[in-house]
Amino acid sequence: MTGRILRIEILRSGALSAAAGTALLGATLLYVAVDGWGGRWMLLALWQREFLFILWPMALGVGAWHAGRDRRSRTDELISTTARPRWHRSLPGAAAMALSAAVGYVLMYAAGVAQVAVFASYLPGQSVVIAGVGVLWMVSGAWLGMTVGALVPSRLTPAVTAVVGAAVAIVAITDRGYSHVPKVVHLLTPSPFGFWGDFVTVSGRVSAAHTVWLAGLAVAGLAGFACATRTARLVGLLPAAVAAVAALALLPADRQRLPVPDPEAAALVCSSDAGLQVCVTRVHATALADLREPARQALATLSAKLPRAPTSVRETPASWYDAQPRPQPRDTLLVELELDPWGGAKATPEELRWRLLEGAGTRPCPYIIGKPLAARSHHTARLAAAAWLIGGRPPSGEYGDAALRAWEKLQSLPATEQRDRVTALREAALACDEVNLLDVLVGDSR
Amino acid sequence: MKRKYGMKKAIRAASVAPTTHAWAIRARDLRVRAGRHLAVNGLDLSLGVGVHGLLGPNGAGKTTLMRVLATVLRPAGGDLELLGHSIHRRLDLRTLRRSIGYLPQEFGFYGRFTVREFIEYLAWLKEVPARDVPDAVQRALERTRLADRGNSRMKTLSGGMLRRAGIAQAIVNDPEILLMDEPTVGLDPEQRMDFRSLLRELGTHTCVLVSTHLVEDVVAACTDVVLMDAGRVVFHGVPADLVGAGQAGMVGDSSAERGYTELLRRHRAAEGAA
Repeated sequence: MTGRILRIEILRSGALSAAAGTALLGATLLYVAVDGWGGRWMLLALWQREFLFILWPMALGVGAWHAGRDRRSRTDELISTTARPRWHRSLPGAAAMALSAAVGYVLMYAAGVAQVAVFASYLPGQSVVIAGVGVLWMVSGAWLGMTVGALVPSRLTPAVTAVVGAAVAIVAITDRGYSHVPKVVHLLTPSPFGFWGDFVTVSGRVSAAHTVWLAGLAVAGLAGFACATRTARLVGLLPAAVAAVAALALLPADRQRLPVPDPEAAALVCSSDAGLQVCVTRVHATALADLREPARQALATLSAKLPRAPTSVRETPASWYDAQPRPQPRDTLLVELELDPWGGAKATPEELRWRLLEGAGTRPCPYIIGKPLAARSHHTARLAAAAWLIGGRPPSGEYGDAALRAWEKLQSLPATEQRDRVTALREAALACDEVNLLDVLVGDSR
Repeated sequence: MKRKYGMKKAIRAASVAPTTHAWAIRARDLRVRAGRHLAVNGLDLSLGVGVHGLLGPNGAGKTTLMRVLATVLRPAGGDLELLGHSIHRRLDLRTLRRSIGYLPQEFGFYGRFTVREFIEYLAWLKEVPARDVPDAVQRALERTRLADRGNSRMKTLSGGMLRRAGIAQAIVNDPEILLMDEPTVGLDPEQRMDFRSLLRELGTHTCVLVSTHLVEDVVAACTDVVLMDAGRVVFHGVPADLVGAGQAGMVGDSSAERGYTELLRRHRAAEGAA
C-alpha cells in the first residue's frame, strides 16, 4: 500500500516536473560549459558538482514548497485527525522529493555521459564516485528544504530558502580560494574543488568524508520534517553534528588543493610508426592522431636544420609555469596539449607544428613569470626561431610583429651564423638559464 | 476493479465485537476553547448509533464541538468519552482515530490527485488495512455516486461533487463515529435527497453527527435533533418534538423552522429570566 501511495506522490506532487526541470536546466548549464569538460569524465563530474550551487538551492526550494502543500490545500485539519503518525505519513512525500532531486541530477549526468562516453579515452572510477556524492547533495537539499518548509509555514519560505541556500553555496565557493581554507568550508560547499586541469582526481577519502557529512545532513533533514515534536527534531540534529565532526576528521590534513594529481590520467599512450615515437597522456589519447603528423614534420625539420635534434615528441601534463626539472630533456620534444571537447587536439595541424617548433623545440622557462619585459623578448625570440625553422612568417598575434622583425634580422645574417644562433637559443632554453633569448638570437654582442 | 464489495464488506471484526461503551459520544460539562473564549461551555451530551442533527445559530459552538469530537482540539475542561476512550492529554489517539470519520466545514483537498487517489490516500492515512483499501474506496465512491468520476482530478470537480468527495473520504474507513460539518452545502436538491438516504443507511450502525443550518435536512433524515446555543445543548429530542414546538403564526417557513425558532426563543427567555 505504501508503494501505491509513493506512486501517487510521485505522480501528483510535482516530483516529475521538478526532476525534469533540474535535468533540463542542469544539462543546459553543462553544455554551455562543454569546453570545460567535453571528452573528460573527471571534468564532467567536477563541473556538475560546481553547478550544484544552482541545483542544490533548487532542491531546497522544491522541498520547502512541497512541505507547504497541506497548508496551501487546507488539508491540515483533516489530516491531523487521521490515525497514521506524522513520521509515517511524511515518508512517501519525502521519498518522492528525494527521488525527484536524485533523478534530476542523474539525468543531468546522463546528458553529459552521452557526450563523454563517445569522446573520452579514460574513465577514472573516482569520477563516478564524485557524481554519486552530488546525488547525495541533492537528496539532502530536498529534505533540508522540507524541514524549513515545515518549520516556517509561509508562502515566501520556498523562495527565501532557495536564495539563502544559493548564498551559502556561492559564498563558500568564493571563499574556496587558492590558499588555506577552513576545512569546514568543504562541508558547506557542494563543490569545494575548483578546476585544476585534466590530470587531477579527488581522493576517495575526500568523497568518503563528504558522504558521511551528507548522510548526517540528510538524516537531520528527514527528522526535522518527519518528527512531530521539537524534542525529536532536536535529537534529529545529532546525526548531523556527529557526521560533521567525523567528516572533518576524515578530510585530508593537506587541504590546500583537494584535487590531487592523477598519475593514471597522465600515463602515456604512444605510437611509434616508422621509428618515430609520439606520446600523449591517457586522458588526451584522442589527440594522438592529430599530433602525429605535425610531430613528424617538426622532428624532421629540427634534425634537418639543427645538430643534436630531439627524436621523439611527448605531451607533458605539467604546465610550463610550474617548476620544471632543469635542464629540460634534449632528446624528447615536450609539448602541452589542449583537448578538443569533441575529440582530438584543440589546435590545427599548422598551429601544432608552430607550437612544437617554438624555441627550436623547447618550452618556455618559468623565470619570466612576473617579468613582462623579459617575457616579451622570451616569447618573441622563441617565435622567431620557429619561423626560421619553418621558413615562413610567424603567425600574427601578441608577439607576431616583433617576431617578424627578429626573424627578418636573423635572416640578414650569414647562413651558418643563423644556424649557430638558433642552436644557441635552443641550448639556452633547454637549460632555462636566466638569459635574454632575443639577445641570443639576434643580439649584436656575439 | 473488484465489484463484489457488497459481499466482502458486511462483516468486519470490529463491527461484530461487543462494544464496551454505552454511548459512542459522551460529554459531561464539556468546555472547549476556540481562541480565547470558551465556544463550548458546560455541554452535556450522550449520543449512540443513529443520525443526529446538530442545529444552532452561528456562533453557537457547533463547529468547535465537531472539532473536539474529531480530535482536532482537546477539551479545556469537563469529561469527554469517545467510543469508551476518555479524552485527556496523555491519550494516544491513534486507535480511536481509526474509527472516526470527519468532514471539516472547510474541506481541503489536493487538486492534482484524482478522486480515487485522494480517497485512497485518506484510507491509507486512516490506516485502513492495505488489502481492504481498494474495496473500501470503491464502496465509498459508489455510496456517494462518484464511481464514474474516480479518475477525474479533484480540481475539476464541481462544488457538489467536491462535497460528495468529502463525504466519501469521511466514510471510507467505515467509522463508528462520523462527523460532518455542513455536508449539504453546495448539493442540489436531488443530491440532498441521495445524501439523506445515505445518512439513514449509515445511521443503522454508526453514530453520525451532522451539523447543518438546514432544518429540513434534520427533520427528513435524522433520528434525533441536538440544538445548541451559546456553547450548550438547549434541546435534545426527536424531530417530531422539534416540529411539534412550532406553531402557526411564528417566524419560519415550515413547522420545523418554526419549532427551531421557538425552542431557541424559549431557552433564551428562560436564561434571561434566570
